[in-house]
Amino acid sequence: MVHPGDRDRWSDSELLAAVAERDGEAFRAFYRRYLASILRYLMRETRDLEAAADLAAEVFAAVMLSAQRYRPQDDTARSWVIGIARNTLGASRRRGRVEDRARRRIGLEPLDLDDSDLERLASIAAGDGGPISELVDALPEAERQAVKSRVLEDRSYAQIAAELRCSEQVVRKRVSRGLARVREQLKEN
Amino acid sequence: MDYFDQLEARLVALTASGAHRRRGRPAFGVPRFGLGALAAALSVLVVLGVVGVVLSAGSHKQAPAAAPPVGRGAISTSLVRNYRVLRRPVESADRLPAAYVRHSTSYGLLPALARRVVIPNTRLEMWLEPGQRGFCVLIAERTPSGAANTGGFGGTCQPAALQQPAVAIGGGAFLAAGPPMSAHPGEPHLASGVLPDSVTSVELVTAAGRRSTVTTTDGFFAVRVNPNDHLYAVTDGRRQQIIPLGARPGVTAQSIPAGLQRAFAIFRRPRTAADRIPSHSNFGNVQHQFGVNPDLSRLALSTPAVHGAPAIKIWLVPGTGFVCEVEKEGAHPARKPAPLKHAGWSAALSVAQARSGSESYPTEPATSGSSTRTGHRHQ
Repeated sequence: MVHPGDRDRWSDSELLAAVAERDGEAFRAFYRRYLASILRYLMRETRDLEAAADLAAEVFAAVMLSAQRYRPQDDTARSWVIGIARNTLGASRRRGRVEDRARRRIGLEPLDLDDSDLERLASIAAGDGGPISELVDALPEAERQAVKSRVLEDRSYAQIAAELRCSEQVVRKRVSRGLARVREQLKEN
Repeated sequence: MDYFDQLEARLVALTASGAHRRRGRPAFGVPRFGLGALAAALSVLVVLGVVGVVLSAGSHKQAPAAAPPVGRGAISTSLVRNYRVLRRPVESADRLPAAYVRHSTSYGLLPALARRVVIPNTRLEMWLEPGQRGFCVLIAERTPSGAANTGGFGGTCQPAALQQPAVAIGGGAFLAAGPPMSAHPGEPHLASGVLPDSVTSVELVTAAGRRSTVTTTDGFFAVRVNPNDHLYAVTDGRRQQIIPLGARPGVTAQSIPAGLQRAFAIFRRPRTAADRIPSHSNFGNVQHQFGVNPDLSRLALSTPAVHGAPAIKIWLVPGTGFVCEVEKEGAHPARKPAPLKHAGWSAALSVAQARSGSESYPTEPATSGSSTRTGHRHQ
């Protein structure tokens, strides 16, 4: 049942049918619905923040391309989307590099990825108490405090600096070091 | 606006513009070709199929035990073709220790795709770490308790171009010798290397003519040798010098040797400001060991960051008996900022044989081969 104008209430199959008909807002709703799940899946599989972000872009480009072929078998398209993510990941592993066919096909240019993006990704991936939150807990006290305040609680550097009675620069350094350590640990594990 | 917001905005715009429907075929469907093109495509597929069979015909049949991280580029095809160890699946045991990964800064190295080999009856383990434009071979000795050696490892790197049959030196074998990781005075050195598939046998020969056959494991070998021996390896009957690591410092070259001038046009032109290597924090070690002189460097390659590939600059630096290649790679263009970083240095190689079988460079006596080296050693 379509609820005109309120795509957040649309079912997955309604959204995908609309995406096939060039409804950008439907794609936005679908993207927001599944971004976190896809990122968590990709993080679990790759344990690499940057690769997960890169792969997520390819997965959603493939979702856009494949929307018109979606045939609902469940109430949700979760298994279908995860299937696309699995295929993208598998193709990337076989080729030894992140797949980008779907992005090339629709003309999606590479996007900048910086530390703040990785912070957000870490936050999303840690949302379900996965491996990242364990690694954050294992950080040295100063770095753990800074990373948790910034990444998990989404507080500004200025707020954190005021609370910890140090400069913003010091907080930035601690967050950066903490994230680097988490990334290192992910690779090592 | 962050990465995921940008991604959302662009995908929404592309959806609305109908980018996904423009060509009216499924995401990964069969492209439409004419009959001629289809026939050509089929012949390519046949070739790819054969390659696929060859690539999957490694000695390790099991599937990857753990999910390896995905790299951002493809391995140089010549490496895959020349080294069978790269044609087997990556396994969890292949994973490079994090301390070693930190040095993976040149040649577009892909540490997640490294393959490990354990040398039988020793505590030695070696990795072949492939890259988009070259590769490194790392060697480390596990502690008596079997733990990874976090105190030190040895490594040598080489550009993939030297593995091409047309320019390979001495069959493209990759040979080096140096002190063991524990580096106690008086201990035997290690001669180690990895041989391309085309090489079927290797012997070590001292300057006095004493020969010993070397056992290889998946093309890798590592044997203890007398540090005072001037060693050569004979691979399929072809003699190659083994490059000594951590040994005799070279005499710094004061001018460009004639052999190098003949081999490289860039050494025959005047030096300009662009030929100067801007920063080389690790370079002193190479200079010390191979007598290379940064004041004689020439910029051999400079490419901007394009199409997802980082900017690269490569300098050739002549030495006494060797020419060293210094490569610096910029940050990935999808990151901010993307200036050239001091990403490392790599590879000393003798090159004359690559251009002419009759060249007598380098100056070591009776040398007819090459190798490369880097010196990532922590103690």
